[in-house]
Amino acid sequence: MAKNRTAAPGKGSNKSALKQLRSALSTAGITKQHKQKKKAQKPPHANSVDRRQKLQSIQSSFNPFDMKINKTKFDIMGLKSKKKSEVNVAVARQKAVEKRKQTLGRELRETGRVGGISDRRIGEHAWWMAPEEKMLKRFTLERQKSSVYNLDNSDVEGEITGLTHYGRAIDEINEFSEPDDNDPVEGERFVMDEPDRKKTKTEVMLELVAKSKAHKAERQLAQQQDDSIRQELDDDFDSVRALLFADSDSKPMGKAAMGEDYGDGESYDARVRELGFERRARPQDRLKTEEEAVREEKERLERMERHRVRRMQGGASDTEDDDSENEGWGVGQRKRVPEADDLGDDFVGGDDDIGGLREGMSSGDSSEEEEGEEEEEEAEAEGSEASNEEEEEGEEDGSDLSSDESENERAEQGAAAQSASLPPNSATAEHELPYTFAAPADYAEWAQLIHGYSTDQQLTVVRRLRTLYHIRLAPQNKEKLAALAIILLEHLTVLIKSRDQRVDEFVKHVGELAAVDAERFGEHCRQLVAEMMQSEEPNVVLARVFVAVFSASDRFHPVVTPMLVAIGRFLGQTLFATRRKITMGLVLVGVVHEAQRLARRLVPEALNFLFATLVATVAGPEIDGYWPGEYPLSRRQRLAYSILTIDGECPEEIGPVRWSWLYDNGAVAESDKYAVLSACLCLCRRFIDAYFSLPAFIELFEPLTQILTNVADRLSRSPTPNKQLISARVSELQAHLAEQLREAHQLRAPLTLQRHKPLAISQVAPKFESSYSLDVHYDPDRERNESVKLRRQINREKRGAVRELRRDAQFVAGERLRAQREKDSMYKEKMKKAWGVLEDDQSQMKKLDRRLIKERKGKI
Amino acid sequence: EESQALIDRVHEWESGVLRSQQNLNDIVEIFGAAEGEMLLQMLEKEGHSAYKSSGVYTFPNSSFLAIVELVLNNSAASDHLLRTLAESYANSYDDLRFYFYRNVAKIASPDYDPFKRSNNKPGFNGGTRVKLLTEESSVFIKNAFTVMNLIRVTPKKDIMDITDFWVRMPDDVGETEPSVLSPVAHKKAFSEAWLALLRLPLTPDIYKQVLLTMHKRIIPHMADPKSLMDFLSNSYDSGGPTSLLALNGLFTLITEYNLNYPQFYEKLYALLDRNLFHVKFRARFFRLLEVFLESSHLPAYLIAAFAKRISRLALSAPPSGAVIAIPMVYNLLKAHPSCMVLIHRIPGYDPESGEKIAENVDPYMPTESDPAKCMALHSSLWELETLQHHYYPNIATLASILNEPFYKPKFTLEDFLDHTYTTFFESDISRKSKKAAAQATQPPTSFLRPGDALNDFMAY
Repeated sequence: MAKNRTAAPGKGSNKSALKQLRSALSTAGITKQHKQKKKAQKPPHANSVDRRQKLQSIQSSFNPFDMKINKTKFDIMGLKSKKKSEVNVAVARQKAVEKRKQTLGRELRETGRVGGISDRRIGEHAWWMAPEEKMLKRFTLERQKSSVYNLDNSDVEGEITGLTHYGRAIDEINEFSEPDDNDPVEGERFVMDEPDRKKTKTEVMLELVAKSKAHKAERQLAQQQDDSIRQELDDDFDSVRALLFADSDSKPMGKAAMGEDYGDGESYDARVRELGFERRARPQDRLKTEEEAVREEKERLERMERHRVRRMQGGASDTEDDDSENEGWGVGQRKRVPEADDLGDDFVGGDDDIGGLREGMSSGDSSEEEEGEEEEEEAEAEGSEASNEEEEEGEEDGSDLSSDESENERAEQGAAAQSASLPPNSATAEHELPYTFAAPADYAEWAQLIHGYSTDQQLTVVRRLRTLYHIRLAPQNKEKLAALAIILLEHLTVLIKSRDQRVDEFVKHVGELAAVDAERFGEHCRQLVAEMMQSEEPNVVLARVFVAVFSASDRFHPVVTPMLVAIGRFLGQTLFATRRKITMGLVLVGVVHEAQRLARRLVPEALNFLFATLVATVAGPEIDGYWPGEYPLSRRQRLAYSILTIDGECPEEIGPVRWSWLYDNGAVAESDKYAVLSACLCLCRRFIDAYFSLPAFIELFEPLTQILTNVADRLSRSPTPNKQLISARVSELQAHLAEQLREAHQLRAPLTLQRHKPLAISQVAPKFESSYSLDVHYDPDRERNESVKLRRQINREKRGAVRELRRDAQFVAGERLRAQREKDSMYKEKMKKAWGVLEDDQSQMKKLDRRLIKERKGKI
Repeated sequence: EESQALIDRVHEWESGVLRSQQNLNDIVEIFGAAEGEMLLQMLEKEGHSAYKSSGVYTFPNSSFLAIVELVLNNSAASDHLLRTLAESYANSYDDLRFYFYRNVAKIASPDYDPFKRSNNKPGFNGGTRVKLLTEESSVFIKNAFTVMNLIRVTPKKDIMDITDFWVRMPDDVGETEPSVLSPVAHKKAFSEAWLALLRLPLTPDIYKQVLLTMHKRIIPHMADPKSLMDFLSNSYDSGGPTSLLALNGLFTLITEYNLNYPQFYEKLYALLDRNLFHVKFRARFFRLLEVFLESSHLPAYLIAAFAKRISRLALSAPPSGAVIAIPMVYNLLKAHPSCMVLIHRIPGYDPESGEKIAENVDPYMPTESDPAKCMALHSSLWELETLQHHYYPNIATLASILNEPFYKPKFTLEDFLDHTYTTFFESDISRKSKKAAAQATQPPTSFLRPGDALNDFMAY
């Protein structure tokens, strides 16, 4: 081709067209050249196809109207899509016409045609598809179709799928092609399967025979192998047996002994029989599932309640078997007793499993404590005289949380509260406790339910409620337990108010029940927090419980975070003018510390309150004087704080801050001030330890040094004889703080927060595109860029579409004209024929007439 | 003749009304209704007749002064009365407003002695007025401020606008133009009234209100705004919230009237005290502070001092304060890249002297009042890094931008100014989460955890 191009008429060639043609032909080797004439008779191009191609190319190159030449006046730099410089228009037009004939032409021919056969064979008329493509498509469709008949689509292994013959899959038969003499069709069928070459019957039979022989040989081989393996096993068995029956069978091991022994089949059988007499493992009692155990416990409670009611009504008790059943509930024998804290969910099994392992360990273990309670409960149920004191002691042992002195106090107070809260006939009320209860839906119902019961009995009620409405028993129990959790939460506040020490037990229940319906519980708690925010004073008990129940260390927690905001507002904006408020503040600071125990996040309000309160205790009479520290302090606040200022003697013993201060409006006694001071010192120490890792630890606690110095100064100036008590604590804290600050100073390093790659200086030099293209839009406005692109595309497509439509119309017109001409010519032909026939007839007639006339003339 | 006699009789009646103590309260009570209206009607007639008789326009100010004095010095003056005076009369009539201002200035001036006043009507010279002014100046201040605060019409700048008159203005005003027609006079009256009022001992409440509205409503209409400088400087120097409020007026004077204030930044630095993030007007203050520190010509030590001080205060600030401090410091660092050493210091390198510096010593002096000497530029903002561990998650996130490259050009401080505990809480509580609130991995076994801080000092 390239060769021809060079011969094609160029701009600068001066030869005539004829000469050019001649030279082109000669260079292509089509015309015989004079020089070669003598040497080779045969032209080099024997292949006529090749020759035709060459001729065609020469022809096309010599028709100047076939080629469309795109002249470029200038080379435009950066133009991406360059148009072809030369296009063969004739070929392109021909192609387009061909394509139209295939598509538009067909449509045209079939317009107005009704009915007929629509050819749906794949790719039959799809001229655009390659033959391979067609075949592939047909094949896949065939496969799909075959699976339509595949009724059994199950994935069960070993099941025969697809077409079958005599219950066997056809594929299988094809593969192994076992001869089946019973089936005369078999052989024929195989033959039919191979359409290329039909085998003769003899051939087939020969094949079958050969195959069966091969199989037979295979089977024999397999059997031989089996035999050899068995032989080996027998050899080994002897040595194993020698181990098994070492005591009874003391024969020496060896080949000879083995052979002898092996031969003795009788002894082998004896051994087998002997083995039969071996003691077998007996089937164990089935372990009860959790649900069954729970159900059993529920039924037990219900039965006991029935009996109790019967006894109450004076009926005979049939407790014999029940009692014996109860005896069986000893700690040692029972397998799995659902305990009060069994949720049946995540943390169920652990207690019992670990409880067994821990038996020798301290009595603080919760599971054992629980068990102890359970026992006590049983004892109550049986009616034995379980004294309150004992139980209390047990409780105290279990919740050994605080120092000894407070322990005693708590015990005393608890006893007092207990005796106060109990109705007069409480001694007998213990026996009257029902075994089943209706689940309370709200606090009012709960209050009604526990009316007149002691706290211990309330706990029993809770335990029984949790057993009766265990979540595994009925789906609606979830709701009841969730309600119970919320009720108990409310009950807690009441209990704290009445200084009841069984709060711990209730908190435990709440903690466990909270997980029953975490969503509802969480939502309820959020409401409570919202109430906290609205009220002047947040509910400190709830705050403490929330910190314990929820995951307080979360970065954002839907309950704890808003609660901390509420607490922060209280600590930051309240006027601490009463003992109650100050106590509340102290407890909330403690709660904040607990909430940030793990996460150690900074709560500035807590520190501010703490420092201000600390200073307030020793601030002195000058209200407006300098209060050390960076915490904000208004004049009003200073005035309010003046109630805390110590001006009397230190008491004999510095007592703790009382929970009861939260609920009465007592004035601040002198000893209370010392209690507050001591509490502040404790909390300061806690926060020093908690916040040591913060980068600004020094900035946070440096003021405290000054504050503590002030406190120490003030205490040293006061004449109280017992001041050692408190000043020792102060100096201890001072030493601790100094130590921590020293360490922090050592650890201090300048910040290097911008450790990443330094930011580049912004440049004003214009942006330079190394490969600039006219076709690419460099508009920085992305949207505008996109829209311009789209608009251009639309224009292009529109132009193309219009052109196509025009060409289509031309084509259709051409086709119509052609059809009309065809029709016309056919009509003409037809008429011509008719005319011919008629003319023929006419001429015959005329001939006949002439003859007749001639004859007539002749006659005449 | 007859009309003159009539007018005299009217005057007599008027003075009688004003004098009689028992009538006073009544008048005051129903001012704006019958009698008050009538008093002012009289005023109009008087002016009219004076013009008729002499041919010269005069405003009967002596009568009006009496009315103004009566109202403003009355401790029983109701809100309604003052409101009526301001809104129905002073706001609507240019001459009434003009003379009202003049009268206030006159009454408030220290050498004002009602006895000396040249007045041909002896009836006005009762002893009551002196007593009122001296003993109950606080009443006067309160009433005058209330009325002046309610007068929303500012002194008119063009003579063509001065068209509303209570005492009818004749077409022919005579040869000399009355001062009521002069915009300059209006402005002057306004200025003098306010200056006279501000000279009096204001109550803290009024003081705050004056400062709050000064930059918008007073300064632009003063004849000479610089005359307010003394007042503002005194307020600015007084410290506390007053200073914060005075800053706004001062700012207007500095920016628009070319006031030069010595030691301005030192005083501004001193304003950043421990209560800053807790006072009500912190938003206002920080808005201005941002403007004051915006200039890129300020020395780095100054910016560093402010940044360090703000961060130090943010350490003990409530969330609403911390949320202002962080973007503020970010903007400062962004606008003054030389202060980036505050958050990124290559150890052992001094940017100025090139000397080796001790790493674990913080040279910043928090008690130093001069920003030039507090060595903030040699310190680091550990405080802001600590805020990355703030309990409120949004603040912790916001503080962590200091770890990021400073791509963000600037924070709009306005978005952070108006937060309170309540807004934080509302946004948290209204946040709906699909998941239930996460519970502790270990459910509590007791009310107080063993080792709980509360166990240290609480007992039943």
